[in-house]
Amino acid sequence: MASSSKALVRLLSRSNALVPFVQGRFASAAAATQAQPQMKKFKIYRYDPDKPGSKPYMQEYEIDLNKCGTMVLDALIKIKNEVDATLTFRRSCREGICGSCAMNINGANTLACLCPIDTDTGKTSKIYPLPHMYVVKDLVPDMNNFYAQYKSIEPYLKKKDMGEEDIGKISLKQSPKDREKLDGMYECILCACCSTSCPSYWWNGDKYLGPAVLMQAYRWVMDSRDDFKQERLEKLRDEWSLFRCHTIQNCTKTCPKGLNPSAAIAEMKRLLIGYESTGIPRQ
Amino acid sequence: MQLGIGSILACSALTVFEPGTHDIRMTQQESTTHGVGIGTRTCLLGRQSLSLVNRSVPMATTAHQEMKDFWKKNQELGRPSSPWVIYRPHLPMLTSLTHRMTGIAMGVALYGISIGLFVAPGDFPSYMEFVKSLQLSPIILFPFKTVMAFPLVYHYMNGIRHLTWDAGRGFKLATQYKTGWSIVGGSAFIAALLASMSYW
Repeated sequence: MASSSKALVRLLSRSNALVPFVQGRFASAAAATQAQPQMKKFKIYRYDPDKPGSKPYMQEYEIDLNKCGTMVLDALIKIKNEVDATLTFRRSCREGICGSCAMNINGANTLACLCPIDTDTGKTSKIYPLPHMYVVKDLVPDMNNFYAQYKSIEPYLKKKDMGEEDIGKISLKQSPKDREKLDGMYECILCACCSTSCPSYWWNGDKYLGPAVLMQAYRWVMDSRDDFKQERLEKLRDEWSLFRCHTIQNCTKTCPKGLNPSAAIAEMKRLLIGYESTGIPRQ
Repeated sequence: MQLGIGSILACSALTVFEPGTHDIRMTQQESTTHGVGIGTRTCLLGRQSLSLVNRSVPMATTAHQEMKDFWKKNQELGRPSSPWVIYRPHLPMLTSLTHRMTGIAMGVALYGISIGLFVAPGDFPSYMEFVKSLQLSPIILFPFKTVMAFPLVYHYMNGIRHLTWDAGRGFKLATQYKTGWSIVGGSAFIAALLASMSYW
């Protein structure tokens, strides 16, 4: 193993950007066998629905960072594998594209797989589920309201002059300029970090759509190929769906993909009161 | 048709996390009695298998129905709500909170002082004379005046920031921090300036 990894490093070591990374990885793996254990404490929100009358509580775990990957998700997986198999959380891609492992880490919503472990072993890292959500178990919230809201904005292309039978017959073209209007919106992975960071959504999650869904609503409003721009906008013309956004900015601050839902919502508000909009402005 | 393999997977993933009270059988019972009104719980899989058998059963629940079922189900199960007080404060959030609090404070003060003066025995100048007669030291009076002036100045300055947002500008996070700190510092400075006017 060791010799093959050395061979790999030697192979890569000519003008390859990955080298420092790869070397770092192997170096830390090698060091782990000798170095002092670097014990880090995690406090994790637990709730067991199967025990009648059980209440949520915080459970502390301690793991050796020398024997663990760099991200919080690595730590969670390590705990589940080696310490407590009952710890429950969602995860899938481990590279920030599926949005499964969205949770509240040290007070901010983010993806566990993109959030490095704070290596200060003096501090305890605290992990909660996404805030103000019904908890199914441990770190798993019930996302069904969020998904139903996403469904309600009809997140797909709608054409006026096309029937079912026309689908797939012609390509619906878009100029590069029109395509550019969707930048900063189509990248959303619907992890719900932003929506569940929003106080407006906490208090009015039944009526207010929340930043993630609103940004996707705007994404379809701005799609040059869609024929229902005005109808889409009209659906949001009420006191709750869109205008409950009070520009608190938690969404933009927390987005693990670096998107700006707040700006998208502002643009949509402008559209609804009759101004023009050309997508999220590059500010 | 939209319910492809993805939804089956999503549904089976859901069922894994569900406490064992809900199974497909239950969903089918529900769907036969209520027709369209199938809950979100295990509904995708249930619906899928149903629609293969009987095409006349509508395939999709409406988003509205799914939302309704969501609240009903969670309240019935008595699931806890995850905590939100643990959310870490940051500057944009705090400027928003301060905006709201200064707004409420000024509203309460306006009505409170107006109504208070209306029912109080003396009038405003007489109370001012009384405060002046106390001969309070500037060390007490100046900070008090600053605190009194701050909400007005802050609310106005941050109000302008809100107007720029309404115009679709200044949303970049770096810009927000710049404008945020400017307004916190600027309004504290101007409030102190206003409070010091009588000493000029």
